[in-house]
Amino acid sequence: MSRGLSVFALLLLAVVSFGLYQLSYEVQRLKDELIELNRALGQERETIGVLQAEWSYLTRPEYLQGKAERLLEMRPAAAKDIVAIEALPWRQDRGQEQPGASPAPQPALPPMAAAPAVPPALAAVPAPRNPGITPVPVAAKPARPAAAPVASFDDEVAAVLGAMQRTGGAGRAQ
Amino acid sequence: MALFRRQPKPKPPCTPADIPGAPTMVRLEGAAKQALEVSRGRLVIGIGLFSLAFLLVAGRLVELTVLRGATEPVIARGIDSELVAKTSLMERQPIVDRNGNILATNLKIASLYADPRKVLNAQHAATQLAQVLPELSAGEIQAKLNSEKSFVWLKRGLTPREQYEVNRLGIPGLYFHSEQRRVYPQGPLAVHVLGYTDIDGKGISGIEQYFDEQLRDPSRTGDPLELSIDIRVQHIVRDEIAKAVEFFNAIGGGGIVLDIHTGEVLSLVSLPDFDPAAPGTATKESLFNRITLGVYEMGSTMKTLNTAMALDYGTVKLSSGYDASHPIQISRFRIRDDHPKNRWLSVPEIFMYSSNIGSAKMAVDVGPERQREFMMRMGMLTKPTIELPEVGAPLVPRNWKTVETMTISFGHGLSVTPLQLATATAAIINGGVLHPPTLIKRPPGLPAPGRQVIRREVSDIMRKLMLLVVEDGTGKKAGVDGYLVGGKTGSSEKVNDRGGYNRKANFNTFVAGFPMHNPRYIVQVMIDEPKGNKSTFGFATAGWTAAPAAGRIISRIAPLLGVPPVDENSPAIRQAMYVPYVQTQEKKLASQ
Repeated sequence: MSRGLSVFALLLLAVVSFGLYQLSYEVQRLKDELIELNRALGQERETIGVLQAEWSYLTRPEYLQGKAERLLEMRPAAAKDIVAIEALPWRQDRGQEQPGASPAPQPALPPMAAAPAVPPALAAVPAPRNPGITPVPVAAKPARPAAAPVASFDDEVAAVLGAMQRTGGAGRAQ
Repeated sequence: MALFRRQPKPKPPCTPADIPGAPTMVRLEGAAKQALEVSRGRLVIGIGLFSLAFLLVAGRLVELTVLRGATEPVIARGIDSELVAKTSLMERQPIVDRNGNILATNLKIASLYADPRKVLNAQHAATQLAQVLPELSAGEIQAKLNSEKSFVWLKRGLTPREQYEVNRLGIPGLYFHSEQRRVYPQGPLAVHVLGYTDIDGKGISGIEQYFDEQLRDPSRTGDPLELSIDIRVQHIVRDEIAKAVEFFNAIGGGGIVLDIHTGEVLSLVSLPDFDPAAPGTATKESLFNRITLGVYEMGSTMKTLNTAMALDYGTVKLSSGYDASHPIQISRFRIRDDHPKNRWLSVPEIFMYSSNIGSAKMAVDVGPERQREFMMRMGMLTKPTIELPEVGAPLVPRNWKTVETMTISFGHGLSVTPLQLATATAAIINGGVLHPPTLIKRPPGLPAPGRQVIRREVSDIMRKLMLLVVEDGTGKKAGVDGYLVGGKTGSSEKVNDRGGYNRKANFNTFVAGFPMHNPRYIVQVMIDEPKGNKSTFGFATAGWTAAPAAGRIISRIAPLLGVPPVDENSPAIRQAMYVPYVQTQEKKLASQ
């Protein structure tokens, strides 16, 4: 009995010691890995810091303004270029209510919106090449021929929303 | 336990019942037993103590591994700080603007040195190095590399790109020494806000000094200090003021943009300025912060406060007025009007035509005591609070009698920092709440600290009056289509060396608020000693110099700040901003 216990204790000791050493080595390995990761992390952080500083340097407003003045045909936005969505009129060019009528008169607009909303420089850009970014004011757009009747109110809303998103002349396929 | 019980086991055969006539044995046994009992007792105590200790260890082990599994990172961070600290820990936290654009950050800068004894081919190395570092000459490098020393500096502070290029050459015997340097990517843009650091990375001016400890706190690594400054606005203000200073050949200028509902400073410009990377080359003039450190007699812009004061105390009504047909002679002063109308003026007219005579009379009716109390309430008599070490204290007259009351009413005799005027004007148009100015971004949604200083109705009237100045008064050149700009001009003569006023040297201020029907921002422009030119017909007053600059600033920043434009002539706006000044004038004239 006692011998059995001793043997068992010794065995246990051996197993536990082995386990402990295994654990210790495992911890050491993980620690090394952690150190390596932390080092890499620090390096990445440094790189990010450098890139951020460089980005900040390259996007400083003074530099961008100089470039924009030299290379872009744009000018600062004036108050009349900005119109609230609520101030946009509904289209009045639908032929159903007034069959055969010539293009409806331009809707009454607040004075600011009525001013030409296309900056001269932008207007000079050939529209077909760049339909996506040419801001075409809804109100100033010539009325579409009566050949494109709108079937429902939903379509009407979709058309207006489409125009608001400045999809321009391409418009909705109907 | 079993191991210790072995000894008592053979004893039972020797009990007195088995062996006759064994009392001695019993006695002996008794003694042995007693000893055994004692030793067993001691053993039990020992065992108990050890068990307790092991239990404690086991319990602690369970606690650490099972119950507090989340504490693992503590160890990781311990290793982190001990190993990463040396390699990449920022010695100073970055400073960013309200949109996260970096204004100041620490970068690891490499400096190149060589151990000439380890360089194999000095001539070849020198030619190659001169190619990637063009500011060094090949001959110079070669001379250094041929020296007998074991250490020579080749170049201090390489850019990351240069370091990469040098590394790519793969020349043996070249080494980098890395050190951290404070970098200001925006250059001089916000230098009077940021300040700068000395060679050891210690803040010695501006925000860098004010928040030096927080910025150096290693527990805040990577946690930037967020300012209320918006670099886009800052650039526009600096750009326009620089143009105005140049155009009018002025000695300097300044500008502030203030969010009137929070007290946040969106822009603070003082010109001339300097590059924070090289503060050593800056002149005394350019180091000076005109906005927070300089104190000036603000001139007629103080009439905003004066009119608000009279209306708040109720000594005048909007319809009342004063006779401004004759200059006032009091002691050695003669108070004249710069834009004389030589007639009775209503309160709105006194304000819009900037009548000194009318303002002085208005202030006298309030009285020196109450004027002083009002100025105190508006924060004009105490040092302004802002997160900068460079803050100037106002120059308050020691004797505050009727004469001083009169001169202070139109901005002479009391010198304040431009920041104080902007803060007070913000309170006057925002509904009467004075918010202390701040350079630190306020968390959105939280109400800004502030206290009610004038009645809301007075604030409503003052907005209309300031709009009137721009639409019909001295500040017409500040008008911007689509944004209801209101403001007040101020052209004060600077004090000359002899203590008198210099007619030729003006300090021009224009303080504007916009949009006046729903005010959001204060834009204040200062031009120091502008000279009139042909385009201004020789005039060098604020209406010609500072007001147009303020107008241009507003037209550029309003779309950026998301201020919706309105139609100034719409009936709703006209009705909301209506001031019946013409009627009172006509009525008065008719009755005369």
